[in-house]
Amino acid sequence: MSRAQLAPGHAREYETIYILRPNLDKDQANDVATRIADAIKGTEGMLTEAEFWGQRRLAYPIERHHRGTYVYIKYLGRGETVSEIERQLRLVDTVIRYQTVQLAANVPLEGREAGEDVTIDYELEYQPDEPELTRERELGLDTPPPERRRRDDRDRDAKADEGKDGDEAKADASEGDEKAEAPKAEKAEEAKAEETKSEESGGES
Amino acid sequence: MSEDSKDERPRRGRRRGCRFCSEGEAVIDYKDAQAMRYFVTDRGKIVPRRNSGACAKHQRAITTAVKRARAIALLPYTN
Ligand SMILES: [Zn+2]
Repeated sequence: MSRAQLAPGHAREYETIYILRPNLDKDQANDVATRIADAIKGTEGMLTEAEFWGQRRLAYPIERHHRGTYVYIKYLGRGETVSEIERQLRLVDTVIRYQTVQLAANVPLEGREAGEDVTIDYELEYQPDEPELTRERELGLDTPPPERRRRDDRDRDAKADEGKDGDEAKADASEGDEKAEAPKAEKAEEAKAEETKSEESGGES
Repeated sequence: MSEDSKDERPRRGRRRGCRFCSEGEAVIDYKDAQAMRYFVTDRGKIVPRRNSGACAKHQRAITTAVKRARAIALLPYTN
């Protein structure tokens, strides 16, 4: 419960979900991932899990967006880790919402390897317009437009052929841009997210 | 004592105990948007305990989970 009592060699476990504006290019998405990785490293935390949930329909619009790209991360750290991650998420206007939940209060760090292999890898998983991982999709309720799909498949094949040529990726990113761009982030939204967070981090063990 | 026997009769079509207490059956995870829908009415309000059949502890867990799911836009605040 209390924030003060953290035994030496122990950390808290947290999970953060953040929502990116839909249809970002890889560079924008990776920028956020890098900020988080640096925030964790810089505060002696440890990233233990990262899941890319892909684009989902939002239950209500946020900053005029009806869809958002969800990313889930799980990590060990102390309060500073969370505040630094969230500070970074507030700094970028590509993140439209985030929420942190504390999962465990006292996790022994002994034997936990620094998760160098855990990365938030957009290169592999970023697929604009294709909500690959949603339940709706699994249940066949959310069928993507077929032309789009074919185009993406072609791009993917092309990329596989190209090897590690970066220019190609940039080209299709701009192609996928959506017309409506929300103006500046309303601060009220952030305040709300902040409120939730402080509520959460006090919470459970 | 006829009151007692009346109480023990299973209520029609309702579960007796809290189904979250019987372990392994149902977990409450705010991240599971699909599963979370069962905890709210079609207007988006939290299903009350008399309908959810949850014990006090698990009703609290449901409430917390619904609030978290709403905050991250997995559930609506209202419908
Ligand atoms: Zn229960």
